[in-house]
Amino acid sequence: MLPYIVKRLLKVIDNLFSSTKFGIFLLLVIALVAIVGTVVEQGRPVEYYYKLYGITATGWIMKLSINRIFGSLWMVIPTLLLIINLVYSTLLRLPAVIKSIAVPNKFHTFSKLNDTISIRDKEETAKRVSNILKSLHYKIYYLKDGSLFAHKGITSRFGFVIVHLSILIILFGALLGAIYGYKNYVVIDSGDTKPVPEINASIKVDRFWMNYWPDGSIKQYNSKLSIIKNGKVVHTQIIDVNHPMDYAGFRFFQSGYGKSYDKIKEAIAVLYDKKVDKVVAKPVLAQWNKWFDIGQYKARMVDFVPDFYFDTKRGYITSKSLDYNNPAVRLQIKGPKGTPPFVWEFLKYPGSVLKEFTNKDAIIISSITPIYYTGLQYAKNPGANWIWLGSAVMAVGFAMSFFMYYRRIYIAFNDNGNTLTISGISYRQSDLFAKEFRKIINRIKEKESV
Amino acid sequence: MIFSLMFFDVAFGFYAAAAVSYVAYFLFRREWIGHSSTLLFVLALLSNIATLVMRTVEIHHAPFTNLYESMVFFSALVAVIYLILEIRYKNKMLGVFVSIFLFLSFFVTNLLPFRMKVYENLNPALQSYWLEIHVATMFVGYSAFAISFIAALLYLGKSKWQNSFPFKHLPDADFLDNLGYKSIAWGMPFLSIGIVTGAIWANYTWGSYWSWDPKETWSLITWLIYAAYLHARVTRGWKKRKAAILAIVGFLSMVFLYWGVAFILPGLHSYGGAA
Repeated sequence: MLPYIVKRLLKVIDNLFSSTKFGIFLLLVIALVAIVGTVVEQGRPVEYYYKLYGITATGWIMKLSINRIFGSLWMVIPTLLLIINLVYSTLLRLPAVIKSIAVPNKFHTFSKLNDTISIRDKEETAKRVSNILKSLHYKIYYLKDGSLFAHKGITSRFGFVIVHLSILIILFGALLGAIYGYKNYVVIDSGDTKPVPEINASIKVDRFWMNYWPDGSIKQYNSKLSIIKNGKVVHTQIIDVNHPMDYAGFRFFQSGYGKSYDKIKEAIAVLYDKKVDKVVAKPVLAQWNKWFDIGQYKARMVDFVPDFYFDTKRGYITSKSLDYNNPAVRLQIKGPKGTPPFVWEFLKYPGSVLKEFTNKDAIIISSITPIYYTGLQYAKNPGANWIWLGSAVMAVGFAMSFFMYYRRIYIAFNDNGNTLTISGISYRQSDLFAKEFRKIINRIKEKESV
Repeated sequence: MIFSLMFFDVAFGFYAAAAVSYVAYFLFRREWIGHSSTLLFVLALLSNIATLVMRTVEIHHAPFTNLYESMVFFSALVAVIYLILEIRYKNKMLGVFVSIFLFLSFFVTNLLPFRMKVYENLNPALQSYWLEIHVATMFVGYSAFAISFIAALLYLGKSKWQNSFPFKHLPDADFLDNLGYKSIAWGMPFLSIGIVTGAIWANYTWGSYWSWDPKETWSLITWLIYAAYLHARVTRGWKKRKAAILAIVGFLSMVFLYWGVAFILPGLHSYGGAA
């Protein structure tokens, strides 16, 4: 009924998707795309490619999404084709496999393994042979003409179905992850609390600390976290790099740390008299944002930048980077008349703001103790459990395919019951089966003295 | 540290001696040379194992933390697999190639700079029992693939020049093909478990089971090539030659996964001592 061209097309599609060769081709295509994805670094800024490959090549890299190859059609199309190929060929081959094990077929003319044995008594031998095969866990069929059919390792014939199923489960998990997976990152200073809307609560970092090996290299990064809900601590846990925290469907990972870029923990403050060139008051350990008395002044540290920069055009102070290149602290000061209310103190250039302060005094800040922040990554991946399930199924499939094998034996009695013909064949592991076959023949011959 | 380094040199020496002896056996086919080859090989394996044991004693955990230690572990596994084969099939001919292979793997390991041969403190991400599980399964896979590589190479030679030297002394082509298949039938499940345990570990430590890091990607590439091999072997009308070629390509991919990624491509796995 169908037009010729459609029939033709269906035939081509059928040929293609039932073909193992096409499957092999797709496996290798995916491998090739993956190789490209490791040769061209992924997800870098445009400048990176430009510097490395020049402008023309960079244009192509962008146009063809080679910089994001793993999520691109380069990967998706062969994977989809592979799924179709895998499902179609599996379903197509399954009936043939079932047929090949279900029907005890009579004689393996094509079998390399066969032997003829003279016997004394047909009945007695038949019983003995079936006992031998039973002891080797063969399943035995007695055929109407008195011959015997036995086979073993049927499950192994279905190993490929299980492995293919496992790949579908894994890809399904990957798809779920791609759609519903969620990942975010939050930076919290030690001692601070930050809301994490995804879990409808706040996280307080009670403490961040590092452990060291005797030689000074870093052994572990740790954070003590508290989850605060409606003002109450509902959960407290210490995490490190290999021990994340699970909360409300999310997993929180210790994934970064650094020195805080907007505050410090404490510093030493001294009062310096320029005229007499001397420190004139006892040094004070100043806490962040806490008033302290020093000489005739009251002061507190209210702002901090790690890399001081004065934007002259816009007239404000900012930080050039997050590194402690030119750290500066802003002090709020109360004192006699003429004391400026705020002053920036440069840790690398002590006293440099002297002029702006009074003509005589300066508060010098030194020996700062930084506050560390902890970088928490939190993620939710509903696909992960499917991946683990798929992996377990794959292990079962591999065990069926590789550590078991299917073999069958056919035994017929000829010459009015004076001889027995035995033949055997195996699917895979022909060398193991040859050994087993020899053993069976020897055991049959044992009692048949000729 | 000194004892493991010392046993390494001893093992290196014995592998070299075993290689020479196996070659002599191959050429002259005297039984006593065959026996001494096996003896030298066993001594090499014992000192190889001693290297691992000493290193374990020195560092208090499994010696899987850098390229050097893993190469020693890998070599021991290959040697154990070969010895099992030699005993089971009562054939020493493969010993020539395996002992040369092991000599070469000790040779390249020995070329590593000294700082990469000594133990470095474990970085935080590596301090997990998954290190042992992941690396051990991965390396059982690697060593099985090494055997399949040797078998595939010899298969190609044997099927082409079966009656000329040196192939006429080798086991027949069917045996080599079967050996190659069996090694991959062991290697593939172990590689898969290795990849999965790596994914579980990554999911637990880095928050994602797969991030297309070069090492992960190359493990997938290797997996895909061996998957292609397994299908090529059951493809009707295809000679076993094609499968053998895929087994060789798969091994080269594994070598890149093992060494190439560490030295050429940066990524999460770059600790290995190389970067």
